[in-house]
This record gives sequence, structure tokens and C-alpha cells, in this order.
Amino acid sequence: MPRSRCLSLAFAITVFWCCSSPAAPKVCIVIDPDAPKLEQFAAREMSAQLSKLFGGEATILAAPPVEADGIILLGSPATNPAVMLAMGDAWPAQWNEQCHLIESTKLGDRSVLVVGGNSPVATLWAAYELGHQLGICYLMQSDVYPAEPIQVKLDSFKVRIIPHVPYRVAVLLGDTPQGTSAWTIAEHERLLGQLAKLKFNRVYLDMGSTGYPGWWSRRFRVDSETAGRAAFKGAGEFTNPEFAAATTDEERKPLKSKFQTAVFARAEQLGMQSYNFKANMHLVNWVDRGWTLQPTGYRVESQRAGLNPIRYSNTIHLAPGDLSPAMDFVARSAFEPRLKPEAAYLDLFTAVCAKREVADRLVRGFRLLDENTETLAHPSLQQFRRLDSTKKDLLLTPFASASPPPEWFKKVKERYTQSMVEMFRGHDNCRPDTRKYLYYHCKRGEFAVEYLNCYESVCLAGEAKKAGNQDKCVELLEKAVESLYNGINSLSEVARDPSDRGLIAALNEYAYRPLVKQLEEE
Amino acid sequence: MLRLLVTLGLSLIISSAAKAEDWAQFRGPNASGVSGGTQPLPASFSTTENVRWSATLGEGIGSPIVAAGRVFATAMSGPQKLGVFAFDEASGKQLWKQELDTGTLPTIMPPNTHASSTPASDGERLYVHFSTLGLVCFDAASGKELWRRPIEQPFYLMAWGSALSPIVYGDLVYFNQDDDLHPFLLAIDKRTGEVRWRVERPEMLAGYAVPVLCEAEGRTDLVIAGSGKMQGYDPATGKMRWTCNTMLRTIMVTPVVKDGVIYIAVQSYGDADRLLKAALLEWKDTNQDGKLAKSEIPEAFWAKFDKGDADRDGFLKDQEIDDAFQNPTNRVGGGSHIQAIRGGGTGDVTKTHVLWNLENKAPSNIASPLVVGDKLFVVKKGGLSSCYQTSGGKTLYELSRIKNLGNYYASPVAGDGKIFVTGENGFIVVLADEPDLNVLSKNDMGETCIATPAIANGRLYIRTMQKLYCVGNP
Repeated sequence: MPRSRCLSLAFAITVFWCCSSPAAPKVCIVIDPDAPKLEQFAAREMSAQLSKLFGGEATILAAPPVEADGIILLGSPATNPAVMLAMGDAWPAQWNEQCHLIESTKLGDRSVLVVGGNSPVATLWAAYELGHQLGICYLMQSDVYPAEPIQVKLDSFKVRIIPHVPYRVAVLLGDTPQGTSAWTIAEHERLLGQLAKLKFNRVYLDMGSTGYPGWWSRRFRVDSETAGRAAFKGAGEFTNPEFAAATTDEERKPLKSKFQTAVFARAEQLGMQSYNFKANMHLVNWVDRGWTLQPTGYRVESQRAGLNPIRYSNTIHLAPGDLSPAMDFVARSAFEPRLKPEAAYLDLFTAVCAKREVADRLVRGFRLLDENTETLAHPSLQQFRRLDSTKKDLLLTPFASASPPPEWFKKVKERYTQSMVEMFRGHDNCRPDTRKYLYYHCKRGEFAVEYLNCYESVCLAGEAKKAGNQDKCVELLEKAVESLYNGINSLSEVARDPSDRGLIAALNEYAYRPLVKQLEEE
Repeated sequence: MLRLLVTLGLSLIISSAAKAEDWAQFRGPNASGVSGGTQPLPASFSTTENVRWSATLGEGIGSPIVAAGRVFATAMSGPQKLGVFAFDEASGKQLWKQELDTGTLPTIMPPNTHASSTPASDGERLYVHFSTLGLVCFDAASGKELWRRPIEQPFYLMAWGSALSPIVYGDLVYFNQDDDLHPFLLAIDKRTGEVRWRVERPEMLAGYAVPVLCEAEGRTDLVIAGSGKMQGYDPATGKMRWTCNTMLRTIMVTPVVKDGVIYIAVQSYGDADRLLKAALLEWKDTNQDGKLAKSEIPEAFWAKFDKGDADRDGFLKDQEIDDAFQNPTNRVGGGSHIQAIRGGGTGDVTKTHVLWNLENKAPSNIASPLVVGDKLFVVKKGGLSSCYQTSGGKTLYELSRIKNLGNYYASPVAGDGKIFVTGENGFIVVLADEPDLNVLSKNDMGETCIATPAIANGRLYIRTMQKLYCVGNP
């Protein structure tokens, strides 16, 4: 073949290949230029999400384009003329301000997707709902996207969402080390962003009453002998840096005010109402009591401050640690009354881990945790539960009681052990980039098992001491200290926010150091 | 003239070789962990006390090495970049740094990290292994890359990740890659990077022992401790000279050689009945239906899967699991033992060369034993240490606490009559090198420490997760 023909052929092949390579998809989000601020924010959020989901470009426009792979009309008939044109009388007339929809329809001869709500915040929720429908998982810490970009397919949506529970409340700051008591303003702002994606619409900020310093103003020593010190990355103490400068109520006042102003401002930006939390305040919320959801009308079922460090539970005080599945379920069930916890958990885990069989294992693991939560929720076990005791007797009380581990102990330990195994089993087969979420639960499971090993050894050490066997007492106390050290280290390996570090700091203060001291005294 | 030539020749040999007090590979001279130096080492040190110099490297758990006046270390200097560093031994001045693009990194399990291999040096050249790159050789003085020998990436059924280290002996670089997919032993010309010989080790499962050299019966063997078997090879040809089939299933430790005897202390999870199948059914059988589906096994192993699926039903069950992943001639379980094996054998020495064996003495599964003088020292999780006489294995002390809890991944090292025991929590406990446990000090290095320290010329080189410290008396 002559050289010139070869070159022509090569050129033709190149051109053909370029033309037939799929171009990045182009999606347009149409919003009125005078749309409310919250809807403009919704547009920006949606643009970022869709760009990542589709691996292309999601542009914000003032008018529908002639051509695009997907056209989204954002807003309501009241805020976006294009929505009025597309939906007209089809927009639900009797809706309240929380209702929202995602609906495929036509605008002239063009296929469009209407995403909007009966208020600007409902439009924001609709935007986030679209992200969820397309595969984004909203966790407390971050969002998880599908592993690969997805195809633009917006022509078969008909989702209309009416809230079953009008108020979805998160109580922030508060009085537990596992809550957000040590979170900074910036960290609260980020968390609020995640809560907005789950359509929480109320924030209560629990800054305690005057004269009560609150957990968030406490300072915990971190030194070379602190178990799990790696979690603190060299810091010499653990406290909420926003209040670190204050030592008196007077000094705290302006800092509290600054904190509240910033958090409330962010909440407002996200369409949430915000309040200062007071005791006995009406809280309208679902309370997850395990696999049976117990609607409580308009009052919280129980106060669960002072979490046992190894209980899996949600609470009126948000404890972000292992609560992503619970929060996801609570949020979704507020709009889907028939949704069962197991189904929600399976959906979430399958999306995060990319494999149904992995999700099955996690559901088993969480079910076991929940069974333990039920067991440990018994009023008689309050002493076992309370981490926030200031008496530092978390483990010294069972030592002094000199009794064998209680009856429920063996079953609880078996469940925690099996739960940990399920988490590890799931972790091994999980999508590689999301394994870290499972590893978090694996290590917390390890902590739970080691904590119970410690508790068991402490009980037996007390018995040995009572029986006059001092050597055995010391041996068992050493074993207890080692178990607790190892358990806290497991927590520290996956500590990712101040809640995790708060738990470690509190365990050192109220469990580990008193136990070491007891051992030294023996 | 002849005298001049001889002198010149000797000078060349001396100057081109790593100095005798250097620590030029993982765990120093023949991976023994023992420094032959005579200069005193401090018992007390920290991130500020007795620090001669320090450097921030980035994340890594490979050990530092010292050769011909230079200290070498590696770190992940970016998400897909391996940093290779050279420092002046005396001043700590950075002499050079090279960065290698690693490409996409495999998923691995903590506490392993990607910069996990310890380099080796002959004083003139530096040899570095990385899982996605193979072996890379640098000029020790300038850092210029001299050659690169790609090696297939290792694969692990349990995703443990690579942590394999080369050694240099004579004019060859030896590298043992016991993974779960395609284990082999390699000898490479240290000057050219050409493969001199390669021996496949199809009987092996994943293991991390560094090759050691055993001089016995008038010859030198290259010894590898692997799954089920410790084997001695001819370093020149790769021909296997002997095998001792007493090892357990997973060997993560490196043996130690002294006076022609090879000592090893192994802990492998489970009991003797816990073959690989049990572990796979526990951890990889995600839906717990008692059989393995392809989707439950890493893709790299699918060819083995297909080969093992005798009834072609798309699952591995029972015998099929064994047949797919474990050589039929080498299926062993777990347990723990400490053994002394006489080197210099021929053929199967299982029944003839084991001098003594201690069962269930619970050594570490990762920290290698230390043989110093006539004592064998081991440490395990919780800071529980034991010491035995090398002749006969008599117990000197057992499971005694060195007052530092937590995990132990770094191997103990010794010098100047002291034993340095590094805990993951960043504390280094110094013991007196004595028949009785005698804790001299507990030193805080401030952050996680998994790498085994190096000792050279009166200095201790400690690699914490992010930094490198040179510690020594003023």
C-alpha cells in the first residue's frame, strides 16, 4: 500500500476513534436568577454532586438549553417559571411547605426533570434526595459515591415526598464525650451540612445551664502514659478548643455566644430552625429502640445521656461515632413510614460496600449490637452504662463488689464478639475505597470485646482479693489493664473526630488510670 | 609494584564495601539484630534527649539502614510517590532524595503501609523494593538511578500487603517473594540488575522472612523460612540443598543465625488443624454458606479458583479450597514454637537437624527473635518477654512484663550490652543484656513506631511513623 494511503487511513481511523469516543455527559440545572438564596445553594450543591456522579459537567443556567444530556428544573412554580411551565396544574396543590418531588416530565418537546419543593428548604431537600436516588450515601462524616460514574438517566422519576414526622431534630454539643461536645464550630458546620442532606430541620444546641461547665469545657490530660494517645496526635490535652481559653462562667459567656451565633447561622443557611436546648424540652423525634421502631408521638421515649462506651445506640444527643445507619434510617423513615430498619440498613450498606452479601454481614453485626443495646438499657445496668461518672468508679465498683461477672455478661460478650467478626468478615470483601467505614466498626467491635475482657478480669480480681489470693488478684488486674489498653488502642486506630477522641479521653480518665492506680496499690 | 597493586586492590575492596560496623540491611548484619560495634549506646533518649539529628520523612515502616557513612530510609512522600532518602551519617544532612511514581497502589491491611520494605546496600549502591515497581538500584553517593528490575506485584489472599526486603551478598541481590499467588526466590546481579537465577517456590503461602546466610559444614547457604518449610539454597545457583519441614503456616518473622545454627520463633494463628481453608472460610466466605464464590476471592486468584473448581459448579468447597490455594505437599496449620535448626544439611533434614523445639511458648507473630550471646530473646503483645538459652532451649525467664503494653511489630535489636525493644505505641524499652530481666529505661519516641531500629557506630536510628531520629551519646 502506498505510504500516502497508509497515512490517510491512519488519519481516518484516528478521526473515527475520536468521534466515537463518548464525550463527557452534560447536564444543565435551570434556576431562576432571582431564586431564593437557599435554592441557589441547592443548585450549587446539585451541580457538584451531579458532576461527580456522571463524570461530566453539571452547569447552572437561567433558562433551559436547547440540548443537553439532562435538563433539571430546580425550584417550585413560585420560584422558577420553567417549573411552572413544565408542571403547571400538575404541581400538588394541597402540599405543605415540607413536601418535595422529583418528577420527569416534558417542557415543550424536551424531556426535563423537575426537582423542587414547596419551600426553598424543601427544594434543597429535593436536590439532596436526587443525589440519594442516584446512589450517594450521606454518612455523618462524609458522602460516599458510586465507585464509577453512572449514566445520565433522568426520564423515569416520579417521586413525591411528604413528611410523616414534621420535625427531625439533632441535639448538638451536650453532655456526653461521645457526642459533639468537643467539636469546634467548623466541625459543627460540616456536620450540619451532612444533617441537611438527611433533611433534619431542627437543631437544639445544648450548652448546659448557667454554672454548669458542661462536657465541652472539660479538659482531659493526654500524656505519654495515656492509652490510645496516637489519636491525639501529640496534643497535651483534650478539650474543646473553642472554650479552651475560659476557666470561669464569665469567661465562657462570650465564647458560648460566639459558638451559638456561628452554629445557628449555619443552621439557618441550611434551612434549619435552631434553639437553645433546655431540660424537659419537647423533642419531636423518632427513637430507634432497635428493630422495632416505636413512634412516641411528640416526646422522646427516654433520655440516654451517659452512654456506655460500648453500646450502639442513638440518643437525643447526637453521637456521630457509629450512628450513620441509625441516622439514615431515622431520616428516611420520617418520610417513608413503612420503611423498616433492616431494609434501610441493607440499602445503605449495599450502596456503601457495593456488595449485597457484605451488607448482609453488617446488618447481622448491627443487629447483634442492637440486641446488646436492649440488654444494657435495663435500668439496673445504669452503673455499667455511665461513662460520664465523675467518681472514676466505672471499673472500681465491680472490683469492690468482688462478685463474678453478672448473668447477662456472657451473652453480651458473645454478641459483641460475633458482631466484630461480622464486621471484619464484611470488611474483607468490601469495595476497597470504602473499607475504611467498615474498619471503623471492626475496631470499635474490638474495643467492645476487650472492654468486656477487662470487666471480666476486674470482677475475678475482686473475687480473688476477697478470697485472700493476692497474687491472683494482681495477675488478673494486670490482665484487665492490658485488655483495656488494647481496647482503647483499637479505638485510637480509627479515631476520626473529637467524639472518638472524647471517648478515649474519658475512658482514660474514668476507667484506665483508676485501674492502673488500683493495680499499683495492690 | 606488586605491593602497590595489592595495597591499591585492598583499598578498593575496603572502600567499596560497607564498613564492618554498618547496618546495611533489615536488622543489620545477616538480619541478626545485633551490632558488633564497641561504642556505647545511650539507655535514655527521647525525641529531644540524646538526639544527634532528626528528619521528617513521611509515612513509612521500613527500617533505616546505614552503610559507608550514609543513612538510607524510605517513606511515602505523596499518595503515589515513594521517597528514598540519603543522609550523612554524622551530621544528618540530607544528601539526596529521589521520588518514584508508584502508580495505583493495592489495598492493604493495617498496620502495614506501602513504604514497608527495608532497603539494602553494599556501600556503593542502594537497593530498594516496592510492590508495584520491583527492585530499583541507586548510586549510594549521588542517588542516581542505576537500574530497575520490574518484579511481578505480590498478591495476598488476606490483603496483608507487601513488606519484603532484599539483601546483598557477594555480587548478588537476593529477594524472596513468598506471596499467595506465585512465590519465588530471585538472585539479581547487583551491578546490572540482570536476573542471575530464579527459583519458583510453588509450595509456599504468604510469608515475610528475609533471607539469611548460614555458614556451616564449610559452605554458606541462603536460608529462607517459609510456610511449612525452612530451606537452604546454594547462593550461587539457587539449587536447594536442604529442607526442614517444621515450620508453621504463616511465617512473618526472620530467623537468626549464630555459629551455624538457625533460630526461629514463630506464632501462626490457630492450632495445628487450622489450615488455610479454615481461615478462608472464616474471613473470605462473606455469605457464610460454607463455600467460596469467585466474587469472594480477589481477582488475582481467579485462575487458581478456576483450576481448583473440580466439579465446575462455580464454587470452591471442601477439598477444592485446599487444592486451589495450597500445595498438596505442604499443608500446615498454626501454633507457636521456638526452634534451633543446625545448618549445613543435605536433603530432608526434618528428623536430623532440629536441635531443640519449644512448643506453645507464644512468641510474637511479627517481631523476630533476638539471639545475643547465648540467649534467645522474644517479645510479644503486651510487652511479655521471654528468654531461653540457645543451647538446649532452657528457660531463663518467661512471659515477664517489660512494663510497656500494646503491640510489638518491630524486632528487638542489641548493642553495647543492651537490648532495645520497640513498642508500636512509640516507647522503646531498654533492657540489660543479662540472663535475668532487667529493665534499664523506657523511652518515649512520641508516635507510633513499627520499624525495627538500626544500630551503627555508636548510634541508634529510630524510624517512627513519620520521622527518623539518630540517637547517641554526646
